[in-house]
Amino acid sequence: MKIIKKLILFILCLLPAVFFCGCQNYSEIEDSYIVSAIGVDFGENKKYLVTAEVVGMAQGGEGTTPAPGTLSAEGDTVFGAVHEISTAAAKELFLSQVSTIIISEEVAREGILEILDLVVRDVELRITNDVVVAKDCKAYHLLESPSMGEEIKAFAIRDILQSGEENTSLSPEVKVYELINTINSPGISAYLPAFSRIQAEEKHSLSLSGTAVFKDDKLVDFLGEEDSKIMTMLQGKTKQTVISVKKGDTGTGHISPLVFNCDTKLKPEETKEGIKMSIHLDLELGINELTGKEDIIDAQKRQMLLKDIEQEIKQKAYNLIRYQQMGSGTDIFGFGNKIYKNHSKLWKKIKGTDYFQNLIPDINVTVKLRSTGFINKSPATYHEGSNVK
Amino acid sequence: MAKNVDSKGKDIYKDYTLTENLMDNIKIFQEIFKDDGMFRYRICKNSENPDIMCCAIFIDGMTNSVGVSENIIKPLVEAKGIKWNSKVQDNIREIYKKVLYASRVQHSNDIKEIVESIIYGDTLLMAQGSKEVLIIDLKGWETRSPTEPENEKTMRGPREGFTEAFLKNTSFIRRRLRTPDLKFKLIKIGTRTNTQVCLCYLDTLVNPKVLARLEDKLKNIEIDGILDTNYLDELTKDNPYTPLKTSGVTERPDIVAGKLLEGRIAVIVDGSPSVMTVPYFFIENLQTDDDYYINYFFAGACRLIRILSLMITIVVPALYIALVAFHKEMIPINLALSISEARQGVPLPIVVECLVMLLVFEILRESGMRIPSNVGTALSIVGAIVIGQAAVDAKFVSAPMVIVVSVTGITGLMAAKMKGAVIIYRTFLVIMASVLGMYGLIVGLILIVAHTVSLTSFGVKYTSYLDAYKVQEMKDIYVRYPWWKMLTRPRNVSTNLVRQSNTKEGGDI
Repeated sequence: MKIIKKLILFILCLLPAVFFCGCQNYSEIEDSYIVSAIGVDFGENKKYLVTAEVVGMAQGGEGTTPAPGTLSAEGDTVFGAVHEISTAAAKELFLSQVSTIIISEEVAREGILEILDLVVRDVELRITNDVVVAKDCKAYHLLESPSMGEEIKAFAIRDILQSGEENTSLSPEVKVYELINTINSPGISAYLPAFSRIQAEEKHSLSLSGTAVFKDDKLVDFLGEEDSKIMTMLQGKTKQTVISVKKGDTGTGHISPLVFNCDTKLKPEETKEGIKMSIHLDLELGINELTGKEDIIDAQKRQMLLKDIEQEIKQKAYNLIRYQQMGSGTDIFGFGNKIYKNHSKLWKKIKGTDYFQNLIPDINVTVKLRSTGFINKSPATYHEGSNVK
Repeated sequence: MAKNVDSKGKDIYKDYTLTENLMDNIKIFQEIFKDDGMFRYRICKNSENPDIMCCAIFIDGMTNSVGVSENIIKPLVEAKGIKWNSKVQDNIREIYKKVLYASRVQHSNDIKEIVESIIYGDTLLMAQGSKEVLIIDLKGWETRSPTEPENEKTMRGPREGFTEAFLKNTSFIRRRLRTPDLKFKLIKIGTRTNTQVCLCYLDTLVNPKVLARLEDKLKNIEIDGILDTNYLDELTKDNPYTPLKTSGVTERPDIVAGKLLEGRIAVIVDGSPSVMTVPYFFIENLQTDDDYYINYFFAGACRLIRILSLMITIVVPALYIALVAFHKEMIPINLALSISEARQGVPLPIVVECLVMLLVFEILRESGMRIPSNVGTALSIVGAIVIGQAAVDAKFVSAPMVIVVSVTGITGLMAAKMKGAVIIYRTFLVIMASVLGMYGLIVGLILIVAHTVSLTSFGVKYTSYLDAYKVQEMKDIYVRYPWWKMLTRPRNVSTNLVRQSNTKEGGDI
């Protein structure tokens, strides 16, 4: 007992010394520019143009948040360009606090492997950084355009992604290591959230606009917002989202049910016609808003409404899968990965073939309404003499 | 033990022996107390029988002079029918038996003992024709009243504190432990001060090894004077070269009684209100008497906060330097930004800034302690404005550093008993961290821990029970267990373990 105790104590004393070992380079914190985001573009002659967002560069008055500024330089490689910035800037660049890496569309189309390699190999950059693609604009456009609420673009992008994961489930946040894992995994294609500039009150502002789809490490396609939501749903990553559904027979206009929870089950089957992928989506909905005057809450109409929603989601999912199969042929849903993990024999058979294009999707959607009955009538139909009829 | 030698190396008592002649004897004392203006003697004769001649010798200011006149001189002068035979030695005993109104009287003819008693405020009574003299205890010097000690204030519990008067101090302890088991062992230390030192312990609880070790060490001390307990503390330390205290010091009788009940030994030094208790554990630095007088949940929480504060006050400045100067990537980015912004334009490197601010804080603390209390408010205002406001506004120091130093300072006050060690360790860690970063901080901490666990207090491990895992061993370490759980005494302090025989609650002795 005593020996074990002594041993544990000894190890406890040694562990910190091992883990925190190797400190050098004493430097004052104010002598370096803290970089929060890096944007990668192509400059002239296909040279890399790297833009660093530096926080606290513009000195504000007392009590103001540090205003960001950007520094950029060109180089043959990404790291070369970063180094180029350092030689021109007043202070050295401090990259350890970078939280976001923005890759412009044109660079992404050429391949992002070099950038990923830099992030993994460099001491300061972290593999937990977010990676996003700038759609329809240059990366530095995103860094220079004002954003809503948050001055520092890197934080804005990070916050949009993180709150989006909880609230809108538009396109999942992808960190560098996740991206690398996805590229290296069999049966799944990489995807990144895509950001673009939007015009808001005569100012450009950045916003999450969908998903960038990759084949290996090269960008091939973009998905829009609605498709991105369905993609997230099929991946089983939806936590809460809002989908827009057309009211079919029950009336006119749209209804936007809030999806609280989405349970996705994938089950591959080998049939005569080929491999069937049965997809079961189990959704929990809440009706937060009714458009139109019609009361759809009574049992019969409610069932019809749910049917409509089921049908709509099923159709959208089917369309998206077909689109992916016919178009770029990229398996962003990870169907192949599911087969690889759970049905290795089947995977051996189909490995290397165009299995994804020939996959037969069999989609099943069940929806359940949650917390019904609190408010039955539309506010306008409360009493008989109401003007609204 | 005590060597009473004058400047020529001659024993000052050797030449003198008391004779039967009163006048000769008086001369002896006049000679011993030569040039001492406070020396008084009073010769008186009985009104009935003028042959009865006595002399009272005392030192002015040390005795109760009313007592001397009322209890010695008056009865002597007025006494009737005393058997007096100028050739018989027993005259003084006759006076002792029939005349004196005094309870504490001692016979003696040892000149050294007599002189020491006179100096200590006793009154000497000599009679014509007697070699023996009487030492009458009529001490009457002024003492402070037993008020609550200034630096050991508590919310609850007794408000009494030790004073400089030795006998009062022993009475405080005796009043709390009314058992003949309580022993007071007297030793005199100091060749010139002849200070009364008292070992106080409960005989059936004390660890005889510790007691023997302490006695042995005390007896081997040869120093001219002992003015405070700290003299003894340093002279008897097991490890003399440590900044940590390895013996407890308190001015509260209730604490001493509590420690005696655990089997510890108290050392009372005459003339000092501080009482030393040994052996001493590291965790006692973080215990207060309030811990035992208030609800145990709250007491436990308070002690945990104190332990946390100790860690904070030692580590935080070094940690801040290590993070900001070496490991900027470990700081959350928003914090890094605000630190970076605050540091813009500050001329000093962060290490120098930290050391200067710590120094300024220590200067403020020390000056606050030394100046008269009515100037204290002025000092704190100046300190707060100069350091807190003006220095930051003038960009002499950065605001985060002010926060770090204030946190360090405030938490440092919580572990007041370890103040000296904390300041030294903190500075050591700051230097280590500024050279080697986090690695230096960890190495420094390991060195400090290694040093601390190597210490002993009178043969008992200093860090005892910090690693305890039995209920009865950790009952009073990190939190205080309720009193009904405190069944035993610390094993390596006391030889008698059982404190409450109610073993059904905790068992596991």
